[in-house]
Amino acid sequence: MKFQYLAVIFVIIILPITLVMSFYMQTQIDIMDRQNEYRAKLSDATYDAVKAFQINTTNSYYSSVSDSKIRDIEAAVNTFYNSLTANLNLTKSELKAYVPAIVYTLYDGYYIYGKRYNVYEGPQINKSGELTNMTINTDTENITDPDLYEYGLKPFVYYSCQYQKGSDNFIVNFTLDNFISIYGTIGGTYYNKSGYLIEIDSNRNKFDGKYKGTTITNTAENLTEYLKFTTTASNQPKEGVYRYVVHQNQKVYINGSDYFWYDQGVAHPIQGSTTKAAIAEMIKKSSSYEFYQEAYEFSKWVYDNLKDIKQANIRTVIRKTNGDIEIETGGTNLEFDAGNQSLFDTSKDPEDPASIFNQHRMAVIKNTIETNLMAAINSYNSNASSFAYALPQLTEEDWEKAVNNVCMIAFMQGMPIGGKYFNDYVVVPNDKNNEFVDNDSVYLTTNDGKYHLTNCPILIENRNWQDRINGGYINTAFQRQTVNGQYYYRHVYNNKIETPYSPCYYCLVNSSGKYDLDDDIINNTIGNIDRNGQHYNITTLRQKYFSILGREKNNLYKTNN
Amino acid sequence: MSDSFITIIAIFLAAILMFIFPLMSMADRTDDISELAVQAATTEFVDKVKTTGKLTSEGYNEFVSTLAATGNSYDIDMQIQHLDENPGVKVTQADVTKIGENLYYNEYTSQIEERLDNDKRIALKEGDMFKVTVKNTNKTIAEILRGFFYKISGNDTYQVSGQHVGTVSVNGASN
Repeated sequence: MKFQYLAVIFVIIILPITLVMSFYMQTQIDIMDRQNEYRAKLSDATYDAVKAFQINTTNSYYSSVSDSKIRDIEAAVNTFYNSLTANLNLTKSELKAYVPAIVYTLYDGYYIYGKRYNVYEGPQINKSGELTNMTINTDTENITDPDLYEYGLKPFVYYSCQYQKGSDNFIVNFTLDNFISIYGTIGGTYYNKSGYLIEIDSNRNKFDGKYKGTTITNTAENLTEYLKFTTTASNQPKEGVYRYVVHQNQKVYINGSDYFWYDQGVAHPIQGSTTKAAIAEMIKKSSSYEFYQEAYEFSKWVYDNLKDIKQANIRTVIRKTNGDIEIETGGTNLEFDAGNQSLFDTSKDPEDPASIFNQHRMAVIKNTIETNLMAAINSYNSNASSFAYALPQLTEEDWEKAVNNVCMIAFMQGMPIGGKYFNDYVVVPNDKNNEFVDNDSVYLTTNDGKYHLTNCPILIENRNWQDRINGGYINTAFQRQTVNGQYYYRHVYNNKIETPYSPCYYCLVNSSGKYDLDDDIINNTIGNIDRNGQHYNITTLRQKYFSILGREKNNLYKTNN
Repeated sequence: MSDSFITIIAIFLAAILMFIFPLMSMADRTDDISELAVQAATTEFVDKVKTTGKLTSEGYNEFVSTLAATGNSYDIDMQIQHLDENPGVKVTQADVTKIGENLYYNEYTSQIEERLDNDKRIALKEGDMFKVTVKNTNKTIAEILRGFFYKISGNDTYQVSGQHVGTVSVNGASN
């Protein structure tokens, strides 16, 4: 064969290969672009939903009451779909087929928004007047027919775990922080107790005012808020700065010798003389001292009663696929095994992220979310896609976010993106909420009209700035409030509406990662920081921070308190 | 005479077709793959900063080494836009009720790298923007081969690039 022919054959072979290769590469690039685009849109929609939840709850002091919460979450889910439909040019029902689950993790449990079987299968009185059970006729109805299912919030699930030891049998509900609720029989008595766990001294029964190396003072604080309101008596709008206390889960404002409470821009006077006397008593108390005192007593009780509870005492009820109920012990389904160490030993700081209690807490939360979520997604079927729905592997980092923050986790799966299916999820933490007071959600105000993060370099590096701290509140209290179409801020400087406290430039505006809240402040019991050859004393800062944190935790509305 | 001339031309053509063309096409594909990897790494890096609110030196170093694994050298441009939502700065119009009148101020690569060296991490807040642009600085094989036939001149010629922007969705300041 001639040399030229060989060349032609070579070209004939090589040319298609390169063409196919470049076509294939181009498809891969397109898929990746689309994947990134969808991921960004999913993340934006989830963020919008979180933002909607924040805005809806900012103006509502009762947002943690479950009825109100369900409404807020449903509104957030609507925002999610609205944002996604607008971005992807799909209708809501088309889109729903690709969203097998949206998880809303809250303080003491979580909701899953998804498809649920919605057919009445309860008792009924039939034509002949007998009481029978109404069931679905499986001969005519296909049980997997999507029409029998409805989208909505599934029942609330608590982060709970059951323990059994001898005759002791109880359930502990965990939360995103160290607050726990205990229900059940311990030592022959039925208990229903809840409280915060803090480190205790096993030899002391009463709180001595010491917390993590600082002294909590038992003096009443002067808490104020700026309000815009009308009264029940007149429609004349009023405004001003009022002192408040929290009495029975409710903010009560003090106006001379009169008291009122506030809802949706209207002030309601408090008349009852016994209530007034109780409020007057409340004004003299230190909410923060009360918090640490109660936490200490609860932790001491937990230490005395539950310190023998170990991993082996965990009791798990498992429902098998054939409907049988099986009971397992030892918590083998949990990711963390405490071995022979006590799970509720409060003499070792339970607030330390590395403590046995905390690791157990995170494992329980992760396990409760994972089991239900897996069931929700695996059972998901849709006519729109032949994709096999399954829970994707969430990264450790994402779990870390979910077990420590109020979060929204949205899954989007099965959307065809050219030769592949889109399968991704996004976790967006919600750090401005009235659900709970996280360590980092307290802002400190200083007497120059600024508010700061606790790990603000200005506060840490200047002793006299620590003395200028004149208060502090939960971060949601610094958000803009709306009342009857007018805006205002709750915390104002010099009692003037025109001067709300504004964020500090060294921490909040241009956030600095120089000091770590956990390592440098909270767990720094010595109260000194040595950095770059400089020595800083933060005793005052820590003392003020802990009393503000305790007070805000104590004043938060709790349903099971 | 003319026969051998044509033979020489044919040999040249054959050489181009048989060696240079496949080589160029392969080199182009390599660049495509690099670009894919660079784009993926950039998106991942920015998204991580976006959802955690933190830019750490470990995260940055990991990003740099992922890029280096493609065999090219890169010029990484980072930009942080800090949102200044402080109502106090627009005092000429002391109306705190306005929405959207915000200012952004920027930090660029050298400043960011310096802060990462000092503090090991930069915390961002909700509303800040983080932008990363990556361009290759070396000549890739595809560029060298193409250089045989035609020249692309100018300072800012690059073959492999990636870019991603994200608005930070969470305050990363505290933990």
